[in-house]
Amino acid sequence: MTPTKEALLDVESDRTDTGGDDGPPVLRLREVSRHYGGIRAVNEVSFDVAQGERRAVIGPNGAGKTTLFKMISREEPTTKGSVEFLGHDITRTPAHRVARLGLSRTYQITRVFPSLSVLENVVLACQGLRRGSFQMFNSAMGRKSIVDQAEEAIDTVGLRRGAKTPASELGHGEQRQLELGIALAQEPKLLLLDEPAAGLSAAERGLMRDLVRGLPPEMTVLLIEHDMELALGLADYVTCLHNGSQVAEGTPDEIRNNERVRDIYLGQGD
Amino acid sequence: MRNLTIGKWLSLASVAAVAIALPYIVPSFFVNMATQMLFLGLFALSINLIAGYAGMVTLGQAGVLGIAGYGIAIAYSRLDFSLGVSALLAILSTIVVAAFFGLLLVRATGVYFLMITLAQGMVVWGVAQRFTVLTGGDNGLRGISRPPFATEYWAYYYFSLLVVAVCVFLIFRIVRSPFGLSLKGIREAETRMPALGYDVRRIKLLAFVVSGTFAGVAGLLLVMYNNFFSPPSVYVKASAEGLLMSILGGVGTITGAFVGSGVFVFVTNYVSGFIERWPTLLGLIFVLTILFAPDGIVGSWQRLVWAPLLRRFGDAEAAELIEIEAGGGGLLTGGEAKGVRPDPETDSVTSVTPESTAERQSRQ
Repeated sequence: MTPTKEALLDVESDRTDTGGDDGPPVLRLREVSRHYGGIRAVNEVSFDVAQGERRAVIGPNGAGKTTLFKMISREEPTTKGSVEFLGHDITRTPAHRVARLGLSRTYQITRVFPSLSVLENVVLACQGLRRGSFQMFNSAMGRKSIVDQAEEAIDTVGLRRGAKTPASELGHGEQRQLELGIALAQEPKLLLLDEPAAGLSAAERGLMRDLVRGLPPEMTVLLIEHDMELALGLADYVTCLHNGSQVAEGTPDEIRNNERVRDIYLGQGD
Repeated sequence: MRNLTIGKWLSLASVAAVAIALPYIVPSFFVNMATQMLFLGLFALSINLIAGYAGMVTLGQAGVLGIAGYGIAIAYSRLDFSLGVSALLAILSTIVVAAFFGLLLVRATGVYFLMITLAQGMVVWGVAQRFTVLTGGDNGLRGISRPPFATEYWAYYYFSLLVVAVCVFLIFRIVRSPFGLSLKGIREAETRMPALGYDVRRIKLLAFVVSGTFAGVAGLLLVMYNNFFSPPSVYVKASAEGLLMSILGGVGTITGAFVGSGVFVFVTNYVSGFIERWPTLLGLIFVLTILFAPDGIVGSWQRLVWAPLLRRFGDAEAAELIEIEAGGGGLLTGGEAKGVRPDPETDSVTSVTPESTAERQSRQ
């Protein structure tokens, strides 16, 4: 179940420290590489993401962040290296199986279902992980447990009023909220957010930041963000990529003060 | 919402009343036209199921229909099975062949999908044409009778009406089912489906088999209607006509298939008696539809007449639902491109430029 925002805040105050878990990592990347011919889009990236961790992947344009995400969600083959998710080696697993293991993602460029209503969009997300998506003779919008689950996710991202609106008629900011709602409705163990605030106004960015902050603390979140302040504000831990290679790793403060990161990233002026 | 429901039930009831009363009102010529409209409509609907709901446009559906057509003809007139058993065998072989065709298709999308369906249809046609021992070649197969209780034109009309009504009911349930929603998902944003846990190939394969089965039923009705089956029925022209009927009526709608087949049958059977160049007329109708009513006749009707009418009666919500439905899959307006941009190969800067911010704010 995706708790409402108030409930989330409660849970957060109960748990004093989630970072100290010594359980096995939710995600483990080992020298993951993606080569296009001679171009090394991603080159030997390795890191672990612990349960409940909020990790940001930052880096300038073309650093290979989105390609890395696609390899984790298995939408793109891995040239070299291995990806482990919850102890399973998923380097060769089909994308839909990875999704069923508990991995959801959002896209940098909104990928909602335009002529379906907001509710249908989210119901589609919920039924994808359940048995019965091949059922032909009962109503998709009549399966109560799924519709309830979908409505909760819609509440969480604040789209309750427009649940019947077709997604194509939402504003850009609302489409980004729906984008997140689709992924959240699946109650993932690992959530990949590819620039959740892409193209949002300052006010909308604030809303998105609050949404990501309000995610259940046990949910592991890996996030790409171009906006350095937003990324550093949300993450416990940051990995910086440059030209496909990992150049720095550390807490937001360490990254802020890292010479190389400054040179290659902040120096360019975003 | 209430107006919408009442309106739908009223129109359904009046269509049913007219359909049942038809043989008592009009002469046999028109009843036969209505019979053709029914099975051609079912054929168009089977195409619509994959093209309109799942975004997979096919040009080989007549080949699938042909498996059922030749299946029943061969089983009945060459192998001397009873009509019922022949029909059953025909449907089973359609399912098997559709599954085989589907396996070859599920990896392809867009124009590649279209080309493979075209090739498959032509293979069936080629076999029908050349494998004369089995299919009779150009001469076709004769001697398939109608069911003994439906030999009269009006009885066969009622028989077709019943079969088609059952199929329409099933398709109506399917497009609203979880499976139907998955099909729409594939149509709207196929690339997102795997990440949501959907095995897109399996869904497409199943969709192709289900659609093929309905095409097979339409094929059985066609054979028994003509008492004859020959290669032109499986040719690419027949596939294209089916696709055009479903576009003419409105892709992504159920009634559209029958409106489309109705116009088609009316022009080919009736208007052709007055206008020698009726194929030109048919072509003109298709071109004008695509130019001025890309949602088809039913889609445009819903958008231009039905939705404003509901608004006038103060039911804006129902009107909006109708308009979404009328939009269909955007089969003609670019399919997946609608509202969703292609995925860039690498990261691209999406910094907020002043213009785009202003634009967005004005939209909200």
